[in-house]
Amino acid sequence: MATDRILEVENLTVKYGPIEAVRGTNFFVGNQEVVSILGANGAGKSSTLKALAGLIPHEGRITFLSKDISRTEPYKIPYLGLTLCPERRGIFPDLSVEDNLLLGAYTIRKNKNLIKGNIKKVYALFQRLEERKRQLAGTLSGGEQQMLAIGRALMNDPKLLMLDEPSLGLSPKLVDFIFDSLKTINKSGTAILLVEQNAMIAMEISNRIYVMQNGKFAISGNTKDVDFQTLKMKYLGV
Amino acid sequence: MVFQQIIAGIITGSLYAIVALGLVIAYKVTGVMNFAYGYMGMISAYIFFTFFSMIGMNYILSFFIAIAFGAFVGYAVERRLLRPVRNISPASMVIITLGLLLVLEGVALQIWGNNYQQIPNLLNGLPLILRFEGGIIVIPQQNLLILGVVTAVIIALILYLNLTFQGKAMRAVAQNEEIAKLMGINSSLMMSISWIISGSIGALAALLVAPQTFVYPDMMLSLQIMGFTAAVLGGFESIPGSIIGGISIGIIENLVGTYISTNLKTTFSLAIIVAILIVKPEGLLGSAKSRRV
Repeated sequence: MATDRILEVENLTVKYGPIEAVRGTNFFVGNQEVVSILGANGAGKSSTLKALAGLIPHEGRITFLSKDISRTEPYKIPYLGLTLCPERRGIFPDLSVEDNLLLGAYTIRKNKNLIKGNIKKVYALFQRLEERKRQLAGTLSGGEQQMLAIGRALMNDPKLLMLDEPSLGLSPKLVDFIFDSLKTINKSGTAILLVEQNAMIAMEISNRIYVMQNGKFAISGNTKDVDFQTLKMKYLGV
Repeated sequence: MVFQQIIAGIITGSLYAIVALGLVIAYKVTGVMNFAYGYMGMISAYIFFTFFSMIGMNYILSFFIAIAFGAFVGYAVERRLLRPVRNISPASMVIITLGLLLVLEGVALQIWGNNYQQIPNLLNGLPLILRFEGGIIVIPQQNLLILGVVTAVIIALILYLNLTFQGKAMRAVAQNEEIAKLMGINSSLMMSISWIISGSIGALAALLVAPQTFVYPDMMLSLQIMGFTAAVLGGFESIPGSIIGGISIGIIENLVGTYISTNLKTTFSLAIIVAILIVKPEGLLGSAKSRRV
């Protein structure tokens, strides 16, 4: 079973000064799985993803595709097939939609044909982006920016796509659309590690979930074994 | 007469424009306003003087050695002086560049003294003379060279930033360093490259202007001030803005110098620019978005 794990995290700790945001968590993502980390605001979810992407200092051991990436510099991580679609989308507002996508393919920049193919795939998934490919990304609506952020993260064919709150600030209809797209992406072979406050929608697409509270996992397990009502009342504060 | 002044203004202005460009590219990618910029270029002018006039090396070869030296200085200043304090105190990076200005001035004085050293023009042939109804325009060959070189540099830079993968990556770092890293962009390398480009441009500006200003420790003072002004007028973050800013200042300055007073040309031009900035504080092509403090 262990060989099927593409990401294995042991004893991950993230500190901001004296404050421990993530306190020794252990988790894994299996091949082609969708895993969600749920929890209220400030539970340590985003810090977990940022640590995995190498953006913030952390302790513990992170193994991705049998390689220890705990000390890997952030810009080298996407080369390994681990890509983070960041919180608040993080698109480049003063670059065109297409240039944003091209930058997502920076790690495969030598392979023009692969880039062309991947751009086509992204446009097939999000037609709105193709219609607006020459537009500056900053002029897109919130939903379109989220599509762009996800599309851009897919441009280098990640083995594991990490997403930080993709539902943030979107209308329920758009959230449904984005999560349908995530399902499609997963079906084509990409594993997904999702961080979400919107537990209900995240659980719809997840194989397994971890519920985070004060930097630790309070519950974890297969989605179908977790009772949503208890979860909601006890851990999500809604 | 007016045309002659406008042409002369475009030529002076094109020098302001590349100084502004060099400042802006380093500022956009690393966020540092480099107050030592002109003085870094000045050192390259002395390097040229040393190789060409003192050692007697070929003009073109000395020229490229001096540019390469400018590139190296740009790299070294960013990597060795600014990078270590980058995440600690962005404000002190500006102070470091101010300190560097004084150090470079002192170093130049120590090594080369404070004599005005002459550098010949590269092109000394007959000037280009255009005659037309109502006037005549005379453009010295060296000025044509300046215009040609500056235009070529500007075009090359715009093509690099807009069409190459590396150029786009550099713009990505300028917009959001952290997100650029997530794309696999080595932002540290991009910062170095931006200062290498900036340093070479500063050296180039100094070499182009040196035959007129002579080479001495403060030779770049006025060009640096006007370059900053051009950058501010253009919005400080915009490359087309820097070009338009530089050329407009050059033209305004020459017209004021001719028709109002030579003594007042800098004062008057700066007053006009202050007036423009009062009406349009974000600069001609700057974005009006507010900044977090």
